[in-house]
Amino acid sequence: MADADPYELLGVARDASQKDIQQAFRQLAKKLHPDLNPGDKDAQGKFQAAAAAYDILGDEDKRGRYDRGEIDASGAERPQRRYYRDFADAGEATGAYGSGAGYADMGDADDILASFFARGGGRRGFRMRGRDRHYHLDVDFLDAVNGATRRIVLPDGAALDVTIPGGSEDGQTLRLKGKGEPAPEGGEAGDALIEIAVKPHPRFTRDGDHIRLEVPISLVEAVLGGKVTVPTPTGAVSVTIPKGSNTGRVLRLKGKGVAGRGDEYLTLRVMLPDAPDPELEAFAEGWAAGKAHNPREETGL
Amino acid sequence: MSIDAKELCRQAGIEPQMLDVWVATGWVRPAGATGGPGYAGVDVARAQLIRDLTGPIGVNDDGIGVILDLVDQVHDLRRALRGVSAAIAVQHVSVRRSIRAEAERLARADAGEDGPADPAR
Repeated sequence: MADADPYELLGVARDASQKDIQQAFRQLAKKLHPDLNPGDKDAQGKFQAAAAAYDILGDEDKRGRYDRGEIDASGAERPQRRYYRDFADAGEATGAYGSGAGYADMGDADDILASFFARGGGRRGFRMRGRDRHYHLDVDFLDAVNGATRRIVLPDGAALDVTIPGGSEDGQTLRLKGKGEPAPEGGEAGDALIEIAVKPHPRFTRDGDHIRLEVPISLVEAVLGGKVTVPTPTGAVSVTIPKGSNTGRVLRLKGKGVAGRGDEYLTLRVMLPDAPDPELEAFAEGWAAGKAHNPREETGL
Repeated sequence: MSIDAKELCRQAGIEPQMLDVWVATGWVRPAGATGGPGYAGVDVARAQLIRDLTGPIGVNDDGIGVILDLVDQVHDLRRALRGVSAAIAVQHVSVRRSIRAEAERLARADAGEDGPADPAR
């Protein structure tokens, strides 16, 4: 009954004046009032319907809102009209009403474009959700290599716990589902897109899945070999320097690369002691084979 | 939501005879959005659009079909464009920079400022 048209109920035209409406209601009230019609079972219903109609039309403001569709005949707020574009943007029009005529010529030559044009299933597709939010996060080298959980504090005070996967690269974007803007009209919230910047490490460098490290060794270690301790992303390890190792020699630590993938490569660098050593100088003076050795000739310099 | 023709007409503010004509010409398609018999909110909105086009906007019958087809093409293109945008958004920053640089180069070329592609950019 809330859907009966109040104008029809009162028997007035849609452009009737307020005075006409008031008169019409008064006539009806006189006729229909239950107490003036004790024998009419339906009088109560009819009278109440007329009163409800007058409640809307008798008040100029309410009448205006009813005419504009903002309230219905019972005075209840009517939800805003949803336009066709709202449904189409939410992906609901692709089933019956989709038209690929606009891009039919574009998908053939281009695999990538074609995947955006596929129209499978009416309700799937890229529906209207909340917008994505974009963030930037600086990450320490080892956190990026090994993986870590970090907390971002947002400008509005809220906090986001971000899991940085092991092996994350500089410039990569992490997607946190549902942590973006809320959606209009109860759809899915957007995502938080976090672009990470990996800070350089003083000693390690990354080479794809591998880690590289320069390891200084002493002259004695280079000539006689020996054991040294070197860092890796997951902790220190003991490494054997082979006898007779030159600067530039590369040793490989298998499995000590990024997130367990890849290896760590050590590049050896032979270092003389900083301070001049008279014993060493005396030895060099007297070492005939050493003086005859010309590495530049060997490499054609 | 699944409603029948009578309810659609009531919500859209149209006569049932009108709906029959629109379904016959294919402007409104039942069993589309819901995959079963009946209509949904999208069909009500489409009927209201057609009502507005024929009424206040004053388009003739031939024009309605053309307009609806173009509206449908626009929405499918918007959907595809949103997809491309979403796919780009999660790419490595170097990929996004390359795409933006090439897009700017193409825009300049379109505007007549021709020049060779600059690989250093």
